[in-house]
Amino acid sequence: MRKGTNGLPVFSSRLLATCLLLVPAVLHGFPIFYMLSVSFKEAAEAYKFPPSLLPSHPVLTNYSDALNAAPLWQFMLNSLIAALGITAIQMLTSILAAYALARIEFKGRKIVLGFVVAMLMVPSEITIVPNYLMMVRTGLIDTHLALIAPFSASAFGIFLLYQFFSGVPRELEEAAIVDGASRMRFLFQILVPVSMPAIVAFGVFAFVSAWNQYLWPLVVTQSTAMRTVQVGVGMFRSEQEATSWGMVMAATSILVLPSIALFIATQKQFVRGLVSSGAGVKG
Amino acid sequence: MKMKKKMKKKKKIKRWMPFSLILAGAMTMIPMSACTSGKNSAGRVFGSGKIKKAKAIEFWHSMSGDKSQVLNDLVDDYNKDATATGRLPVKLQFTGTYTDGINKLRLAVMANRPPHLAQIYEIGTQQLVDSGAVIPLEELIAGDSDFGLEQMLPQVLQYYTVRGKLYSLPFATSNPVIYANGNALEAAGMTTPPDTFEGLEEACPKLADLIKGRTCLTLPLTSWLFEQSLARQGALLVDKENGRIGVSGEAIYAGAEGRFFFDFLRRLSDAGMFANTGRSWDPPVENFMAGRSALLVTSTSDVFVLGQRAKFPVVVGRFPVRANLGSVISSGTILGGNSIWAMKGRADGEMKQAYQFVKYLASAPVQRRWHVNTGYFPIRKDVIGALEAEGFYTANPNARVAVDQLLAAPDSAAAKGALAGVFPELREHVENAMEEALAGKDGSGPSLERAQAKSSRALQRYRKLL
Amino acid sequence: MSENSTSDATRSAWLFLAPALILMFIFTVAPAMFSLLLSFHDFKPFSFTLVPVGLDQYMELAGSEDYRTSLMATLRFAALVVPGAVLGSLAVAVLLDQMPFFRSIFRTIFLIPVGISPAMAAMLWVFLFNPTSGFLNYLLSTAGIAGPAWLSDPDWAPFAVSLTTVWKEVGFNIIFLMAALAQVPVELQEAAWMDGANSFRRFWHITLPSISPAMFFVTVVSVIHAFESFGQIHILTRGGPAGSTGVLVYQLFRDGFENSRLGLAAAEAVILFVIIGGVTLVQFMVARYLKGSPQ
Repeated sequence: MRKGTNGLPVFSSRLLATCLLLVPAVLHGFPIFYMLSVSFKEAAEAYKFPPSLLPSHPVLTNYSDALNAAPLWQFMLNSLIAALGITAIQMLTSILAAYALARIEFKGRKIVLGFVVAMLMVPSEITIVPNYLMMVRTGLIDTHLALIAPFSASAFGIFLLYQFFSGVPRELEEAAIVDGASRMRFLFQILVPVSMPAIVAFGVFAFVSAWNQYLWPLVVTQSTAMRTVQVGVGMFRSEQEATSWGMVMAATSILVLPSIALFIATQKQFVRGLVSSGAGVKG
Repeated sequence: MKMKKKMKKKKKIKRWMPFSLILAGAMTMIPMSACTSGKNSAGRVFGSGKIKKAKAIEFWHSMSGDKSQVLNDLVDDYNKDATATGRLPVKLQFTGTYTDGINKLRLAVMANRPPHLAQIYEIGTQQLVDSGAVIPLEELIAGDSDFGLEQMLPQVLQYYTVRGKLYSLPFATSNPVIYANGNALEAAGMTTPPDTFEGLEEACPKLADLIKGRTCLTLPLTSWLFEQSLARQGALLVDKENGRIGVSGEAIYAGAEGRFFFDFLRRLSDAGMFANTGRSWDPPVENFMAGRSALLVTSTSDVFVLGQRAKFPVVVGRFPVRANLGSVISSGTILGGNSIWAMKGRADGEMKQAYQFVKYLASAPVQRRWHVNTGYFPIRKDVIGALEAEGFYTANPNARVAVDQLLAAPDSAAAKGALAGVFPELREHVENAMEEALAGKDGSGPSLERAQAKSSRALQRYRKLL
Repeated sequence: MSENSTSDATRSAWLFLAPALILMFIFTVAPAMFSLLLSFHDFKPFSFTLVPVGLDQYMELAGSEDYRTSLMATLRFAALVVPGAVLGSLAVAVLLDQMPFFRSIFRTIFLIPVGISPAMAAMLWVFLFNPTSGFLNYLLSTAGIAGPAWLSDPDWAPFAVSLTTVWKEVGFNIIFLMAALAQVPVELQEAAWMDGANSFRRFWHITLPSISPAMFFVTVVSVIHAFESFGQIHILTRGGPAGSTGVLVYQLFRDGFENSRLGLAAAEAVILFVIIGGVTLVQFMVARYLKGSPQ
């Protein structure tokens, strides 16, 4: 592209790009906008043809109906417990493992590293059935632990942190050894704070990934009280009876809002985590 | 120098903040999850940990709507007396549809935490028998002469009797019947619905009123009705006498008798006489109630509801027979519905209590209440006799049809209905074939043959497991 | 380093690695191996007792019309989603690379769907697809087109599900393509411009080749995501109608968890593993090859 004196592309290209982007952006944002719009519509208006863009008489009844129809707060709590649990354990185990791989010279290091990289390529479907059977056998179906346990270790986390730790200058460690610090102290008092951006990026990414899971929570929870947000929202989708779309959209709004808010707040870190997950597979 | 150190410390804390916050938040979740798990166990079907001593008899069921209300009332009454006499109360747990119900039961058995009693649909019988996870009803009764087994209709008991053993208590039992719109009948110069397939086909043009938007017939595209048509023709669904003298390994329903029903529906559909609303049970009922169909073939369990809510007189007739293959009086119909199973794995003392509840459900007053408030018919001769004497059936002749129909069932394998461990799959095959045949892609022959082949494979697969 | 410290180091290392490795073994490695074992077995009714059935379940899948339909549905789904997601994201990324005004707002709009789950994406779109009251058909009607019954028509359901998936996935691709575009050497571009090449030629001969590794990566990831799709299908169409959207993962779910045929589901998982693992491996090797070769 041609660049002007300020290093940015020429004004005309920028303007053109802005205009061209309006259409896809509007189309892309429309579903979310429309969901909100329908959620405030009265029941009859939601079915009206032709459908209106905005509600003519906005109402809040859909929201109260949605809250009465299913325990939405319970869903969010379940998702929160599961996602936080997964993120915490993943972070802990990954930090420990990545440190060993990055910083300790030991026999078999290359093998373990290769093993972790191999684990990155394993799709989750191959583990579903046996993990499910394990949960059934141990009576853990329909519990929070079942939502957390199978995801407590993350090859991606280990690999990401391994790459980051490897890049941290050795002098820090040598200084710590001179000061008489143990490995643990070095890890948690020096290496981790220094690596905070990467760790937080991983944490955010892990949290969002866990929050967005669908298949495993669907399979491993039985009662409504244990459902997560994603499975819970799906309960509002009913095929045969005429659904109250206003209420469905209200429920979706309530349940999707935390994700959108969290995403906007942590966009930078999330994207960083996302890119690293790609970089991991890229090799 | 001091400033630098202070700044470094501040920076350190700042950097640590997000991580420690997250970690702290996560750490608090773990005890919280333990607490909420406990609080939630009231709403949860499964709980963690070993099975504890029960404070109530767990009874899993799949009744919804009006029927679940009746069940609730029955249980409430039982529990009222229970506390007075020191018996364990019964706790109802709705487990969703019949399919969900048996799946949840399977999970529960595998996780070693079964309920005491479970209501399972009739086609799950073989699976439960083969599982070895149930206490046969016979053993539960164990010679208690008070139970009233001799009062129960043998035609109903025989469905749930496998290799000579009675396994479960028939609970919601139904038959298919024809519901007819009284006004349509009158307009066609008839007083009762046709009782043969041929008669039905003939009467259709008279019963339909296409100008008013009323077709002749509507029914759910369910394998159950297909199986009924087989029973009416004395044909079997699967080999080994419908799986009654041994584990079946071959489906044999694609013969002339099977094709007959498919072709019958196809001809009506082509003539615009049949409203195809798919496999669901509700749309045909709605169709009929809205006057959009003169005849409805569905379960007798809707007989009271339809009678009360229809804005026209409703006349009930028996499920049709083939005109040249025996009379409607002596042909079989297979029963549908569900039964109550007692599960192994709970304490003996608790199962004795569970038996008390089963006895309650089987008793004459409860059976009478269940029949009169739902459409399911009573399984006890004394209840039928009493209702007759009171004139109940004179006032409600529609309710009598299914009873008579069942009582007339011969003691044949075809009339007994099939047993198969993979029955749900079989039904899926048949229903797919029905849809295909009606959509007109192939004739009934090829689609039935394909379904039959799939069913045979499924049956053989199941047999290998035993 | 003395003998003591190396064995010390090794012991420490394994201690640090232990939690992660043990968890990975219990929940990933062992289950993966067990899936393979399970694929050759079936269960006795209501029991954990395994009955060996050899290759029966694989043979069943090979001969199963339903499984074939599922394979076709998956391939069709991938064929619809991947070009849409890749080309669409390329177009948007190129536009964003032009530093338009409100760039960060635009970026956020395209990225938000990445942060929400497939289930949410499906819930957002399900009403839009409604044949009578849905906005999509309304839009089409203004252009004089009668919109189909998106979710209940076997011919159109795959499009509906693909549209939702592309909507959700485009943002992911945009991130990578934007990063790649930012690294295209400006000097080459300017030299070409000074040589009189128009935008299109510049794009085709300079930009595209420079970002081809990212394009390859994004394409392969889209393929893998397509093969692993489940949430949006479960909510939008339940794999129907007539199996037209019953992709492989959905078939696995149905067989294993709705029909309780866990041995069969294990066989399906093994097949899925081979397919996805194969694609991932290919991508991994190509990436290493690209990294190793000089530009």
